[in-house]
Amino acid sequence: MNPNSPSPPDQPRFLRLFLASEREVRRTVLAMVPSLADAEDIVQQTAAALWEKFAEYDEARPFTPWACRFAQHHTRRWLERRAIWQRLLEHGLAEELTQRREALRPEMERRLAALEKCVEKLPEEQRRLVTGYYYDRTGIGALAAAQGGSVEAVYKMLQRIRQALLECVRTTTAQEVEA
Amino acid sequence: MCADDDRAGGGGVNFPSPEFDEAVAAVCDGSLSERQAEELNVLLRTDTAARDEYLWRVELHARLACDAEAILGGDANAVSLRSPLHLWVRPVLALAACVTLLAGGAWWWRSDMRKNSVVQNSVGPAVVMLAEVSGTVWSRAEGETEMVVANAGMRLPAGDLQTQSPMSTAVLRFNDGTDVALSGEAKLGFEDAGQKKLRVLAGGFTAQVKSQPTGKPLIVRTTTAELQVLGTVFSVAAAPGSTRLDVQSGTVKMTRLADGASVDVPKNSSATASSLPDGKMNASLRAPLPESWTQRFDSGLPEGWRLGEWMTETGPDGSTHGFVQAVLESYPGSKQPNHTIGTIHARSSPAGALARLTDDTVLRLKVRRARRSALHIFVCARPLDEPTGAQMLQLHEVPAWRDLPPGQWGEITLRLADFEQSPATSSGPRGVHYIAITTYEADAGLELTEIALEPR
Repeated sequence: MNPNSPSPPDQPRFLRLFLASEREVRRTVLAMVPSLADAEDIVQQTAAALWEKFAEYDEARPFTPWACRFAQHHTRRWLERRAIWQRLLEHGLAEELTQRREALRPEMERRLAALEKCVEKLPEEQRRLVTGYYYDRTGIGALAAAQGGSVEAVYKMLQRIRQALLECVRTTTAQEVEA
Repeated sequence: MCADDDRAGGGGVNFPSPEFDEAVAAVCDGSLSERQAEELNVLLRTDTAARDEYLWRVELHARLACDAEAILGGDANAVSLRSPLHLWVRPVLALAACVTLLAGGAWWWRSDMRKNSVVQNSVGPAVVMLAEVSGTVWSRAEGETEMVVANAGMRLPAGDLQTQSPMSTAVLRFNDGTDVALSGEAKLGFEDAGQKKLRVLAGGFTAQVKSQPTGKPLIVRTTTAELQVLGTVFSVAAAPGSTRLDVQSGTVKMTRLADGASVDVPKNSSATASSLPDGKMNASLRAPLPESWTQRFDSGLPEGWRLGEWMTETGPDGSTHGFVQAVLESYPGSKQPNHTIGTIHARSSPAGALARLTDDTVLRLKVRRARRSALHIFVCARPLDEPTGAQMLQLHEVPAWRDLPPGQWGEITLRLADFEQSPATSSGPRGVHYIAITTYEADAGLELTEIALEPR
């Protein structure tokens, strides 16, 4: 061992590993807690916990599954303190959803690969709304104010856009399979 | 779409139905009511088609949120890297904040540290205990060739200690309570065979020296100077060709090795010994640490700043606010041009603070952002007359930032006394040692054109 070899805790190495896994960690959290603001809190708690325990990380094993286990743990802890989410996921539904999501994953990966193309097909106004909500993380109130519409109308529009996108990825995939 | 109980209906949610659509949308948007939650739970447990549809919709929503940069990032790429200093900060900068906590002396680290068992090295009797460690620290026993990772709680025989990175810190504690604190990229040899001797091999350190036995002062040796210390607080910064000494309390005798000239350096004074003798050695009174510090970036990076790597040089002689650091990291797979972790860091000595911290100190920032995001600010304060006892101040909610429209420059003034603070272990004067500015949101496009610490 010498001073030039990597040794935990090593911030740059941790950042590289975490950034490579960040998307999967976020997806893991969002699958259980889809609310963006809440999921963000959990991801941050997960990141802090991962850094704190980074010295225990076994380099012989892949980082992403290790990180996702932390994410699942912190998601569960977060859910334990939220009555509404408990009501949604109680009686074993959380476990059922997790298992079913794993089963659906290959198909999801295949179909959702078309998502970018489907977003491109959205009318300009809808694309702007999706960008504002998901990319810029602008609040619904601000989006409504920018559009001169009501908060209710923005929620409704987002709901319709998501359903249209889901329909699009299904159709696109079906067409590709037929082709 | 913040559905309330009335709109959810009283007969349960069916699939497919507009109620199901609304409930799933409410899950995604965080506006789920208790009744919706209960009814959706029943439906998803009993109807597998509804459960699959729920998973598909949630997954699509998650993809839009997680992969927004890839799916929607085309517009945002129009924002290019431009002067002045850009801080493209990733959500993971919460972690940078963690790192800054560690670098500051790590108050949260100590509880773990105390749990560590004491490790007795087999080579020679232990002369010091490694009281605090953060980041990567190496030690090597005298006569050994291999350096090993050093952990807090270890007792070490005479040898070398090395702090590897700019964020590493270590405190060596001798049996009489004398503390020697290294930080940044420093290397120090140490021994105590009845008389303490330190050899500065790289960088510098700060020491709080207990009263030493008569005739056996603590000796510090650098390539250009020798110091004799009886009991004091002082800092040493050694660079090729010169050694700078800052004395906070007591007196330190400094001898220039090149010609044997010496000077007694009293409290609040400094002296420099170079390898090229330039007349009589003098000690000069150090200017008190100012209460204000300002740095502008409107003409790009100041001279001596670099993006892309940590700066490790000590500040110029006579500087009371040391050096600054900035690091830029770009991450593979990102469509954004670069991401920067921004910290402003003072030299690692008690005197090496950006400015004196008072109850009225405010942090002033001139900033702009491309997109909305949360702003978190971390400040490390350190005692000016002790080598240990860093204190973290942090602020997670910045109303002025929240209200700042994207694309518009704004000035944010924050009173540091209003920050959340870790417990202070010292009641003496403190200086601001570093400032870290982070956002949690992805690629907020944070720009900083001026930063200042000043009295309110």
